Amino acid sequence: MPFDKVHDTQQIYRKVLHAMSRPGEISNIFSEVEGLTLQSAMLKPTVGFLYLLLDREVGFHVVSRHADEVSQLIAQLTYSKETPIEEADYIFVLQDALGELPAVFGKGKTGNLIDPQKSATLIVECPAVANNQVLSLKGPGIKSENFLDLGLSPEWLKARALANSEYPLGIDMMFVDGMGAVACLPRTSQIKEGA
Amino acid sequence: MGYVAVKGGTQAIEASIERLKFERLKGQEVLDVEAIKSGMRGLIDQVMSEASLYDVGLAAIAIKQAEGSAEEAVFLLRAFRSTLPRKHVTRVADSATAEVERRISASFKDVPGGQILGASTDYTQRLIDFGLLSETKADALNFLSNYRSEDSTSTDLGALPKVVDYLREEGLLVLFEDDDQEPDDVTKMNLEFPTSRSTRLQMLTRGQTGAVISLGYSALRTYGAAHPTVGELRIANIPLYIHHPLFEACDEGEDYYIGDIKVTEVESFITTEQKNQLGKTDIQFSIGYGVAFGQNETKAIAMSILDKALQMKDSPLPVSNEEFVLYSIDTVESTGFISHLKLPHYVTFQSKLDSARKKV
Repeated sequence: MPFDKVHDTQQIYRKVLHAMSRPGEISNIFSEVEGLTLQSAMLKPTVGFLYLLLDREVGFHVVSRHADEVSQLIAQLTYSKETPIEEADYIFVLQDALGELPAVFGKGKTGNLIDPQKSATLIVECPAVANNQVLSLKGPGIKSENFLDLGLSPEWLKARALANSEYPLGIDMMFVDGMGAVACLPRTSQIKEGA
Repeated sequence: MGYVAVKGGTQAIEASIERLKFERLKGQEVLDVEAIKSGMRGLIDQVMSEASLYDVGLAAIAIKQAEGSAEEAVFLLRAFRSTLPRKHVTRVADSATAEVERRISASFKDVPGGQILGASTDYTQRLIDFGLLSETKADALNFLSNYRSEDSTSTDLGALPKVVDYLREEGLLVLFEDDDQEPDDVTKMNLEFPTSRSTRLQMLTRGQTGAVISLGYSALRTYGAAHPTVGELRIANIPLYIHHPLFEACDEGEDYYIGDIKVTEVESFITTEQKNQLGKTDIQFSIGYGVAFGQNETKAIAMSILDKALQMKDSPLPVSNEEFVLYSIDTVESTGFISHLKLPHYVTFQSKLDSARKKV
């Protein structure tokens, strides 16, 4: 079935919303994005996120070796505008640039005390999103403890903790892999390494 | 577990909604949306203006659903509006080049282009026309075929000069630089005080018609010598254009035309006194600006008064207090807050009763 811009996007919205309110719980959007035919440096589920998040009212930034090409494509698809990373509402970190993830935290906006929602949301393409006991999560939306394995090297954890140290300021994150698995980490989730 | 005191009542609510439908249909007449569109211009213009959504068809459905209640129809349209994606922003529109339907000036009798009365109830005697009771479609068609719009070929209705340009040329207007700042958008942010002028104008133009008029009137009554004069009231169909979303900088000739909107625009002249270098007082004029979707003349004039009043920050007038004015005139804000009083306050009221009884 070809991708349905209205209904598939709504489904993705419901699933991502669930993942965001239950940090660490994995939703899967593969069946929704399966029908996408766009060829690009982005994973298919990431393209699904474009339809979910972007329009001309928000700005985005892409961190990738193919950033120019991908940004142009995103602008054409969504009419959203590319901005410097410091002003972006949504920052996409693609698979080929995961090494730059820690540095992104220092640049993305964290909102201000009157409008903490005017912060960046990070969308990160991961090798695999799973519930293995690599990261232990606690915080709002988690009953006791949730586990997450993103297949990323752990340098970004410190950078994230620093960016989120002054609650309610901070950066929210969404993780996605090639098989459509989605997990989210709002700024309120506390992460510890290991079980 | 929710708020126990207000649980239940589902069946009663469903019955109430059913009853509402019954009330709408019990006369065994189905109101045709086309009939509303063609015959309820005043209400449609009011509802579109207060809803900040220019769509005659949707306004007509909302009016039908709301059984003619402007407050409810506006609520429906505002709710619908909030679900729409905003894909484009038009280029800045200029009313000076728009096709004029009506244009009058209370300041100059002989304005260039002349006073164009257009359609207005102003010149009627306000006697109920009982003939309308028996008006038929044949009468309407007959009238239409006899009606010839006066083709005054001498006047180009698309190029009527603005009355303000007069005063500007004579140097009698306080001049300002063009302010090309991106305007705030009150539909996307919370009101923060002090407000920018763009915020105020948006709040005023979507204000509840009655409230805007009442507050504008209150300002007028206390103004004393600074009585505003309607420099120009024009009702015009303004063409709107959008540029290509991916090539913002491209030539205006490549713009897409997306349709006309009819607006009422008012520029009021208000005298201000300024000390000149010799210490004498010069009289100059400043402008109060009013604009509203559709033909909403009284509202647009009242808006122009309020626009000016809100700029007089030191004034003791209640209408110079922007928090008072801007919150009070918004229809969903005010009707919503008053309607909430109908919601259960069982627990809060019990606690008040409790404390009252304890004192005795």
